[in-house]
Amino acid sequence: MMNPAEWNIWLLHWLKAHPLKEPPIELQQQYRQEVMARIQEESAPSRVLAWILRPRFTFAFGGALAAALAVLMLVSHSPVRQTGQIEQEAQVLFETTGIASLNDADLEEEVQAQDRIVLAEAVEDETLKLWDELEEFGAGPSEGEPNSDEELIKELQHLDDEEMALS
Amino acid sequence: MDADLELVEAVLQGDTNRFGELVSRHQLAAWKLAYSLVGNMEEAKDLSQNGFVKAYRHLRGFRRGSKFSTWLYRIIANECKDFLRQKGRQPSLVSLSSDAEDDDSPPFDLPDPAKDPREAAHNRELAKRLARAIGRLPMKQQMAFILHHLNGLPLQEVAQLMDCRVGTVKAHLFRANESLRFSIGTLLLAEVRR
Repeated sequence: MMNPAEWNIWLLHWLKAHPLKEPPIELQQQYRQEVMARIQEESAPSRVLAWILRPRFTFAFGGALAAALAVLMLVSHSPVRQTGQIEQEAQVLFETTGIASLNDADLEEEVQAQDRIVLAEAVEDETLKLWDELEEFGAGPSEGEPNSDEELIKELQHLDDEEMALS
Repeated sequence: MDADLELVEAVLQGDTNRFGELVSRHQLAAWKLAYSLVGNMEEAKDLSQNGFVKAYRHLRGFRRGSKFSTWLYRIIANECKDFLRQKGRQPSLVSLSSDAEDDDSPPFDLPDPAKDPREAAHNRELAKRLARAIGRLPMKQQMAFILHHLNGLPLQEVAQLMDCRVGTVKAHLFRANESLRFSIGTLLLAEVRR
């Protein structure tokens, strides 16, 4: 067994000759940068925290955003826009149906023509309804009235033509 | 004024970049301190860097009367202790981590084996035995031995780090030496007498 004095001398000598290992030089060079990067990151104010700590700014931004959304919604449902859309859709409709021009006079004439057709058809329907009613009550032919079905239809057709001529 | 204190003052005045100079001055010693306690280079790097970041955060709490290095090493030693406690490990020069890069690599700087292979092999074996013997010491003796003999810290500083008196540190060192003399001294004597 080594005596304590010998041991102390040997130990100190050996540890001086064989100190603790050092980290690789390339890692040592990065060390400072890594530490400073972490410190810089900690020093920068948190974005989330900034929002919390600046309520006035947060509310102002939120209000502006809400206003922008409201304006956007209003614009999307505005009458001006709807009129524009209607005109656009009407244009497409007229193009597909073959009607050349789109103006108020033409439109009015077209509507009136359609009305006449509807009225004529409506009168015919009513006529047929009236005819059914007459059949139901078994009314026979009276003086001055048509004697047969064919004569009745002819009479009614004549009345229609007179009306159309008048209008 | 002490160079470290000047840098501390500059940082506290707002010049954060000057803290980088403090890092440069103490990074090697900080890294080696952590390494001597946890036995792993990567872990030592992370823990010592954590220590620097904590030191920056609490720089205002640094008392001007004490040495910056002592204050920093105390932070790093606490980081290492917390880390080892979480891992359920004791301070050890020999890493007990299963993913250690080289379990057989002793923590000491050894000469190039190409120069004298026989001598290199002998030193390697001695280094491994010494590291294991230090790792088997009771924690306070181990801490005192590592701080004083491996990190070169004076007794006063070791006492501050261990939060005890200088006399207590001397007692820990004496007992540590005796344990190592019994472990390694017999082997050495046999080789000397061969």
